[in-house]
Amino acid sequence: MLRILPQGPVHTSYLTHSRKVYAMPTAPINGIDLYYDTCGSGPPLLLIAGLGSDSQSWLPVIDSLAPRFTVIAPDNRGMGRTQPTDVETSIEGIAADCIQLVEWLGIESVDVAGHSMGGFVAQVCVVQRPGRVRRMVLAATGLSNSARNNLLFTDWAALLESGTAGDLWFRNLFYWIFSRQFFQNPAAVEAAVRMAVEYTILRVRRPSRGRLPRLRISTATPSPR
Amino acid sequence: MIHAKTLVLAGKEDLLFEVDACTALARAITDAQIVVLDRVAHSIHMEDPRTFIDCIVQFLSR
Repeated sequence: MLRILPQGPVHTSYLTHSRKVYAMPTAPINGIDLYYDTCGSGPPLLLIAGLGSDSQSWLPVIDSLAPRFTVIAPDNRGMGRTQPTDVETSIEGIAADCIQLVEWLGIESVDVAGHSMGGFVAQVCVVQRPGRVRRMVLAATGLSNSARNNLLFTDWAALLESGTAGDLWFRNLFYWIFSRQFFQNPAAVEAAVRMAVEYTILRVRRPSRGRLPRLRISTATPSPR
Repeated sequence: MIHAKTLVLAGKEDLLFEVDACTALARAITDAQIVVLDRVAHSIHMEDPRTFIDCIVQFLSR
């Protein structure tokens, strides 16, 4: 079934989202202290963030999901408040953390939503534990990563490590991840760049590296068949 | 083979995972449907959180 939704307003409201702090628990699993945001009530919904982002990625939607679901949003290994940050990471590793987190929380079965690389992780989770994952929402993701994406992600990491100015780096990232409409408002673009830079400096002790784990996604993603 | 009921969300302007790639994903999963969101790119949940939430709630409420 293919549905094209009618045109609606494009929101840039995430710019103004406050960095709300929910419960701040960590789970000691797979040799790390896995941080996860959790809020809301109802059936459990695990949100898996994409490459280079953490649970804060879900800020624009988490408040609206909370009345209906018990939202669980981990900071993937190597990212955000999960410690230590200097760890080996892979799609399978992140998936193993997600499965362990769900089991550690004593959740029988969970609905999972994954964005981008988080969608690869969700697919690995369901292949590894078909009984544990009830349903999936896979947003902006695919069966495998394209060669272009792999090159792009490698270059993004290299540019970070070579000390590219944060504002320049994020603006160039944004060209790839936001719609044409987003760039119609230069002030909003610059506000988003500023916020991203400030958040990176705040959260990452080494702002010149570490935000973007080197992952070659095409080799790490199993075929769902 | 993935048998979990799946909703695939695609951004019509997504450059990293274009609609074709998202459609291929949906086709590879036994029980999947796809919704393409107009006027958003890769950051679907940031650019159109309302539609993203509506799609998830509707899908998971069934």
